[in-house]
Amino acid sequence: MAKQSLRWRFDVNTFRLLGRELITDRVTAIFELVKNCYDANATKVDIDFIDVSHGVGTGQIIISDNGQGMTFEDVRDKWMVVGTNSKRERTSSGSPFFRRMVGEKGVGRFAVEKLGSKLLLQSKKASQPTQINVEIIWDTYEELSAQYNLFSQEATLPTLRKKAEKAAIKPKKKYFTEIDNRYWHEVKNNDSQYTTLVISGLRETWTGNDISRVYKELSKLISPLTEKKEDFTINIRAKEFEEYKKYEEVKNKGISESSINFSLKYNLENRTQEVIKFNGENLVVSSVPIKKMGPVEMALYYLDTEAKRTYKNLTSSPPDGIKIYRDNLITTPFAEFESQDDKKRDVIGIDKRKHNAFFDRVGSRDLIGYVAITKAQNPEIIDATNRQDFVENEEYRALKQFIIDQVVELEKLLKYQREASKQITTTGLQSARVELDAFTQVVQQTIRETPQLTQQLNPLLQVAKRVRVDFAKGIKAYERLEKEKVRQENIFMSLMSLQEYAAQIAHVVRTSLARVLHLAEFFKDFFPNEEYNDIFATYSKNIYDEMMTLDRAIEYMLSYALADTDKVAIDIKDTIEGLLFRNYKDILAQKDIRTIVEINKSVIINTNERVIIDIFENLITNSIKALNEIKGEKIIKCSGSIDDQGVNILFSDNGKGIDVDDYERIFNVYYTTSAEQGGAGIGLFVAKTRVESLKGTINVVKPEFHPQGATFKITFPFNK
Amino acid sequence: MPKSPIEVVVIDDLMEATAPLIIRLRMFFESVMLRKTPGEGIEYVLENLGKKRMVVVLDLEFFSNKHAGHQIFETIRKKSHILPFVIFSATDPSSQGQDLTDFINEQAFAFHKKGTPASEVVDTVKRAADSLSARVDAAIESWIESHPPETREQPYITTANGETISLENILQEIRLQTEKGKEFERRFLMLTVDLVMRNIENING
Repeated sequence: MAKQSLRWRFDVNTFRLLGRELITDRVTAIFELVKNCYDANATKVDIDFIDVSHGVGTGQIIISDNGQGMTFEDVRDKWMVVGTNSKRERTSSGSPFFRRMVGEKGVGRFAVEKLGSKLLLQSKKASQPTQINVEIIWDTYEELSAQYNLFSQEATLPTLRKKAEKAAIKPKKKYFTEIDNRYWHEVKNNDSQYTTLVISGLRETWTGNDISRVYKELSKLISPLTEKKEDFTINIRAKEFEEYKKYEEVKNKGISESSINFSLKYNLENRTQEVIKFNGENLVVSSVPIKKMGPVEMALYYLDTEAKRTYKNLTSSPPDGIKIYRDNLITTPFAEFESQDDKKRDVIGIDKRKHNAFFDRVGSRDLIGYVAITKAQNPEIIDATNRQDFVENEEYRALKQFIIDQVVELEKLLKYQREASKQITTTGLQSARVELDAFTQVVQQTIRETPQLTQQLNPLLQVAKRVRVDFAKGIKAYERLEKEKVRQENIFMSLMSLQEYAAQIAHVVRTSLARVLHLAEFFKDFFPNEEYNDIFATYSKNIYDEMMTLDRAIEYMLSYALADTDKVAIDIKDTIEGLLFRNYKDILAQKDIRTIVEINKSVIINTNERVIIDIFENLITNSIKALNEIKGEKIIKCSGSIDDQGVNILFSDNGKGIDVDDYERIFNVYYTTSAEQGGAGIGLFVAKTRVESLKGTINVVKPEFHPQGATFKITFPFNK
Repeated sequence: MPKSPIEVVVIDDLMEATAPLIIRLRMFFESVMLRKTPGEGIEYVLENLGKKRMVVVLDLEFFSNKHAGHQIFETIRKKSHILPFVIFSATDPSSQGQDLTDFINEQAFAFHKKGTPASEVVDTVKRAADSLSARVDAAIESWIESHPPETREQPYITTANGETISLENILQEIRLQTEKGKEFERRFLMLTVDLVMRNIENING
């Protein structure tokens, strides 16, 4: 048989899919249309909202630009071709601006369907004497789609079907591409150029607040980073509302009120990228090789409480985090509207890290940032189809990591500043007390030397004494608060690591209990029975062993409940062996992991036991995860030595290892490379904070089992 | 009472061969197999899919992998919908992050918490084995399996539209519970009822 061919057709419902469902909200819809004006080299866009507050189905939105306009052929062959790729073939908007084209999927124009049921497109090129008009009535598509449904097999309402039959509507299925849209020419005889979209029969009622939203989102459109200011203005008018009575130019109000800010550039010749580093006192800009995602420009502003208040007064909204611009135009978060600021998407993942103030983290509500990338320099950063994010790939991950790395450096500075101010407060209070004491002494001396002043000076002395008492109380209260804060932080840390193990302990306890239950049940049902005598003997021993396991598990849980802040002499060797050979024995045996402990018996630290256990428990679970996919021999090794500086401990495994790039950030909270194994990025963070609480250091060093595995070096200095 | 010929396969990393559940199961079943890793469990079940009639007792969480139970279930379900599973877990099914919809959708036979008495679990396994004997699909499966492999490959039925179907094809459709497989079962049942009714008529006549 001769081979025949088949073609794709588009169901009439396609219009809904492209407009209403692909464009997530009406602010995005307007944004899409304004982007098209930008691509058309317009320098000015006017958006008019007319009678938009009078209910659904009425009112108009008119978007007009002075861009290059379209001919009949442009409309027929480009504008009305779904997914037309002319913008992909031609990446620049051409003379005079050579803008980077931003609409590239060829569906942005369907955004009009989201806004209203009818569209009148009017467009003219400077070189043409006539204006082309096209009328698209989306209701026609809607009706056809509804009619067809009446005749479809799924239609279950016979009366409706009868009604349709009576009206003699032919049940012939029409396709999206078969529907006729009216067009006509109008002679203009001038050299003006423009495109105007008149959208009517609005799908939603607009309020003054909605218009402000449009203003706010459009103001973010153009990157404030570019030195070359874009000749592109957007004006909004909505006569119904006081603040938009006249055309209001959309402006990026910018930031002048930040308390800390920095900007980073790159150098293409040297292939270097500027990054920010905290040098122990300040943030300094340094250069590193350009990262995987290509060069980026970035400006970051941190707003403290006061700066936030000023900002909010100016913009009537809180700071909204970091935005990414590509080729001067915003890409993500993409003009997405979310009335509750807290629900705004956090595509970069800034807020995911901010779990609690204890962690000295800043969130997107404390930051305003601009990151500029370009299609030419960062080709692997690809827009996601939903336009709200980028495609998750190595380059995008590198970009997100780059941004977070800068924020982390900022956090280090903030933490330093907080601690410095705490010091100043404490010393300030102390010296004030000393001064007060000096004052009292002077007064007392004066009284001694000049007794006739006693009457006058005594009240002063009384007041000074009272003040001194209050002062002492105040200082004590402050110290108590500080202590309380430290205690809270400690409890919180404990809870974090507890969470990590709670699930595992529950599993162990439940399994043990179930075993005991089954063993005891066997006795209940079958004892005595000659046939099972051996089994009874085995089972009684098993019951004993299981009870011991349960006891250990409970002891282990209890150690968390005890608020033991007392320092005791801890033998590192005993502690680590206890963990490895008792608490983790079963898991290590299950996974066939060999353990080596080479520590001199005399390595003893005078400290809190819970802290030491936390450190090594987290290192052990970290190693177990790292060894999971290793074939062949699996080893965890811990060795210790003492030199004149302090105690050094090397903790190693021959697992999958740590990327050199991750040496620093592996200790960051929520940073994990083992999410698929339940890693939450907490273990090593807890280990590090615990080590630091003992004034020690923990670092990743060259792996002992090189080229495989990872080694952590922990140093506890001698108390001098 | 004779022991059931159906084999029980226990897949659990923390179970010992001398555990009470295994000993109890052996009181009622001729063969009880224990497999302690997900890989061995899957391999054993799939290897014996056409050869033995089995009930699987499956632990949900393994030390090596918290999701191993789900993965084992999914892998085996891709090959057979007939095999009954008795699921076993240390975690409460109502606890957070515990999603059991796959077991419900793919019709696991029963779910037990680890604390359930062994006698109850054995009863459930017995019921699962009984269901295997009473189910039409399982009956057809074992009937087809009683044929030598070369016979199973040969065309067995020709449909109205000229398609030839082998017993092996039918077996696959039934195991995967496809529309075709279910339709075959329905027709098979109707035919059986019809035949029985006729026989009764004959007897009466």
